[in-house]
Amino acid sequence: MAVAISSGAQAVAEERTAAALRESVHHRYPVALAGGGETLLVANRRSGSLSIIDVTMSMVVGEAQIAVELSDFAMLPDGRHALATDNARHELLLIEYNAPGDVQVVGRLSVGTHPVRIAVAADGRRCCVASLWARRVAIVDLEAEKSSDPRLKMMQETPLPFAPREQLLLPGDDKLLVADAFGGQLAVVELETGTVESVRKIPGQNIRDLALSSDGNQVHVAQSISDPLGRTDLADITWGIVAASSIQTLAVDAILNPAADVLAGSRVTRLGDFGNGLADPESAVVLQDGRLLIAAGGIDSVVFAEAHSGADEIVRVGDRPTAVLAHAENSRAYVANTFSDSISVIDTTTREVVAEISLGRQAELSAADRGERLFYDGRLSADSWFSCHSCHTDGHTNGQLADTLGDGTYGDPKLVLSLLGAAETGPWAWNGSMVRLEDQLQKSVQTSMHGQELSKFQLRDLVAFLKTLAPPGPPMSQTAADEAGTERGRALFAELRCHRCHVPPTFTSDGTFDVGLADAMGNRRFNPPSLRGVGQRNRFFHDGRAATLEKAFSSVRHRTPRSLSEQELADLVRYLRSL
Amino acid sequence: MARLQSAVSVAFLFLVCFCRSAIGLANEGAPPEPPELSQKGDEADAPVDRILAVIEVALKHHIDPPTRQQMVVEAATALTRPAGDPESYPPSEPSVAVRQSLAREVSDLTTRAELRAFLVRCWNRAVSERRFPGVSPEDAAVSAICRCLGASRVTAAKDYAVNRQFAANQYVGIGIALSRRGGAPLITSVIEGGPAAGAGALVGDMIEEIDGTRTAGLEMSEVIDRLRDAAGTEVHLALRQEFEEEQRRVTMTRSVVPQETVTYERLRADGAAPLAHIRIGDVNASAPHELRRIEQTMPEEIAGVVLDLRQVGGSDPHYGVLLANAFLDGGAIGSVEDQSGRREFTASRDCVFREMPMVVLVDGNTSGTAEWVAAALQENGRCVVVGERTAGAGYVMDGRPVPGTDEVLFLRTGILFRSSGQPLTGREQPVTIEMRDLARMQDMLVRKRTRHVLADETVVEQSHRYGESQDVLNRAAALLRERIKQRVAQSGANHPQP
Repeated sequence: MAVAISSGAQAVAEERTAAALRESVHHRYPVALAGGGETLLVANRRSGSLSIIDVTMSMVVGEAQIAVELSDFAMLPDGRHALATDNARHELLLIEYNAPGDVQVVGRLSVGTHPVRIAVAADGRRCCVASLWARRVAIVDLEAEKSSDPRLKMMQETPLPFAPREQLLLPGDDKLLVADAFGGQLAVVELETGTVESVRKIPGQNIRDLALSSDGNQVHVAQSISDPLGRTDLADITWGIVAASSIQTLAVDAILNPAADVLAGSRVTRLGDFGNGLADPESAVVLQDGRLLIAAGGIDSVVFAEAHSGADEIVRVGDRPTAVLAHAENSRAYVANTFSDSISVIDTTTREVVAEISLGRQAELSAADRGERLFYDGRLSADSWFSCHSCHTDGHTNGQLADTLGDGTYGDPKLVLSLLGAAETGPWAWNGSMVRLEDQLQKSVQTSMHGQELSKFQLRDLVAFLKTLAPPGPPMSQTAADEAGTERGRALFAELRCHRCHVPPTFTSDGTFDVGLADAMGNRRFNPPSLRGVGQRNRFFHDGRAATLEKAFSSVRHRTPRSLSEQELADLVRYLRSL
Repeated sequence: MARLQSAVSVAFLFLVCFCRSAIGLANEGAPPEPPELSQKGDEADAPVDRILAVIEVALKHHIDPPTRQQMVVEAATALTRPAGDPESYPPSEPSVAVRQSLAREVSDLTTRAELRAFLVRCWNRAVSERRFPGVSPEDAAVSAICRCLGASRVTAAKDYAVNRQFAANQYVGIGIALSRRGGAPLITSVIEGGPAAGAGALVGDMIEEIDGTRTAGLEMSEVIDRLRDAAGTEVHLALRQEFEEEQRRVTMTRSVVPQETVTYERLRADGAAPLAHIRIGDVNASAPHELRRIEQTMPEEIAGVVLDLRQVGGSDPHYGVLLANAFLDGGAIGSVEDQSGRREFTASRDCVFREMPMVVLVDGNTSGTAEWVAAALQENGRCVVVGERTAGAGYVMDGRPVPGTDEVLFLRTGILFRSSGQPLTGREQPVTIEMRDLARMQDMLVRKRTRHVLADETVVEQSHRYGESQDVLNRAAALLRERIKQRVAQSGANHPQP
């Protein structure tokens, strides 16, 4: 095997370590790509390692352990440094890359919990890090001008009204567009001061990428879109009403102007056709000819598409592609196949897969691993329009209402429930009618997705996967003043006997209760959803009628044994957000 | 363009085939034999039970049902109809004296048993007097009940299921349209990509055998029955082109055959930007998807849309909601009232043809959910409505099984309201149509329709002709161009060009 030439005993030792890592049997799960000229760098989520690929030889020439769990990776303009996010240790890492056997972590910065995306300014002077469950964006100065080697310095931490995921630096690099990881909200953050200039809602949900058009005048949003008035019957599913992958193209001018209608001059292009849904857009890049290349994670394919005219070619790659990188000079696009631990190399001119590069041998799959693959598989739905993940985004909720047969009838859409921590909190469904989780899963797949009946092995695997989904942590870290309020809230929770229905530690119970809210069909009794991670939800109650936790008690009037003062309400909500 | 037109006619023919079988028409053959008659009282049990079952379904599900007695009077009147030519229209009615006496008699009856006994007497009398050459007395009674329910009908459950397949645009079949040529069924069109096309069936083929059974002498409805079955099943046909010797044997697998129901053509005019003329063939499950596909294929220079809803009806409000939602950038769509109460619908902001000027073309046969969609676009200022007043038939129509039969009563189960709260229904007694054949139906629609409801912003032409008029379309296009000019002038004034 040809590897990069290095000298000295240490280099040889490192080389041996890298070779051992490369050949070890484990799960990698590639999720981010950088480079692409001669060397392609691949960040692996599950192994926390960086795989180094020699593009000419189409093979892995090194692998370096740099983190516990990687979520994103970006090269800096100097070509020698890179940034990575460790999703488990909540850190931004500064990486120095010298050779396949010489990759060092040279800087670390604590950021908000669960950093998921990095956006680097074109001049390399600063970057933005989106932290999912902390609900904030960190603006980090890279101090590039002070010395030849960058350093990490926190400038601002901007809280957001939603859990962020995708980011895009808008032309000029002084404003950041950041998208809701679940619902369809977009915020614009001014980077000098860290202020949120606007928060606006666009149609659709599950935003998985933001890409600037070639002329810089438009932003392409790769996302799912649903007709909110649809229902999960076979006709609505197979005609793309329930959920379809789409590209929503917005005008940069409208995004930048907080007073403008963000949809002025916009257009939605749905992908997929009768008999041929293209589940789950995960990543999108603009190619040199202005077309888009989109990873459709739910159907193990990439899609060549035009923003206004839709998909024109579908190319099969490995399992669950989640990241795409285009390299203009050699007409190549690289696709990270998360579940196959491989990289597909595509010739963007002929639109053919020219190579599939394995990142190394994969360990045997556990039941939870197999369940995870089912969870993200669009083929579970009729004609592959969507997967479990399309609505229960990464196990959470897309925040939409869905008119399913979960309650026995159409006509009374219900909020999609978060599955994070839900495997332990039966019974299931809003009306608490499902005592066995397997039955709930079978019913969802058959009546909400109109897919094939799952085998008992598949059900067992899905349950095993759902059991790995922990509730998200609270959105913010606590100050001393917060803690006092939280304690008062905890006392109030006990005094009001909230725990009779929301029983700790899961903060739910197996009964159904009438809390004074009927649905459109007159159903009044609902199973209380768990309050763990309740601060991470944006809508409450079966129909999402309360937009904030405060409103759950003020305008919607969830029953309490006595009325609450403003201070008490604030304390109670603070306590709930800490769960 | 030619392809689009043929696609329209394919869908149309399909529906024709369907309608004809759904309403149980005797086709061009001889009228069926009258049922075996008997004087025994228990012979009346089954037909009278069926009549009563229809009445009970109507009472339970109709949005505004007549009383049980009223429906019994209608049935009794039909059974007492003087003998005459069953094909003549309108059918001869009993004298005023007979009607009065029937009404008085029924008014004194209170229990179901009494009403039943009364109908048994009427039925026995009708049968003994042989009033119904060619039509069964119970069918006449059921039709009379349907008439008083307004645009109702009783269909076989399997035909209702096919109706639902059409509404979902998931018709299961082999993808052909049929007519009759001489004694044999003739394929008049073959849907591209469908099972028949895949197996090599051609336009102009006569179907001589279906699964080994010769079609000669079969009723058209029987031919259609034999061609239909569940998706995934096979059918073997013997085909022969007219005037050719060779018979071809082909096998095909039935599958969902989606129909093209929304079509698009470009309207050009010298010196003006082209417009899109979009025809909605059916307010069904696929219409929003088809519209979005059309938007994706439309060239950029299209400056406005003429949405053509002429001759379109629809009965399922869900599909009306989806279609209105596809056009509207938010706003109230309207509401539906049925037994479970009133539901309001609001559009999402995702829409086709954002910011593009639009004219909606309607006529007196734009009915049901189609006129509801037109009203929703009008209420939201999304379009200018052009044409004639619509039918004023804003009802939810749905099928309910008739217990003890394999039939479904298709009836008004709800009312459609504009977002302003006004119901989209005519004030007069609704139009009743004897669906004997399409030509007569069309003729009657033109003569007797309730012309009410959709307040026109601009009436271009009061056309009483059936079918599309190019002239109306041209005028709508001219109006739209005028609007575009105004808009360009306005935006020019607001944003002066440097």
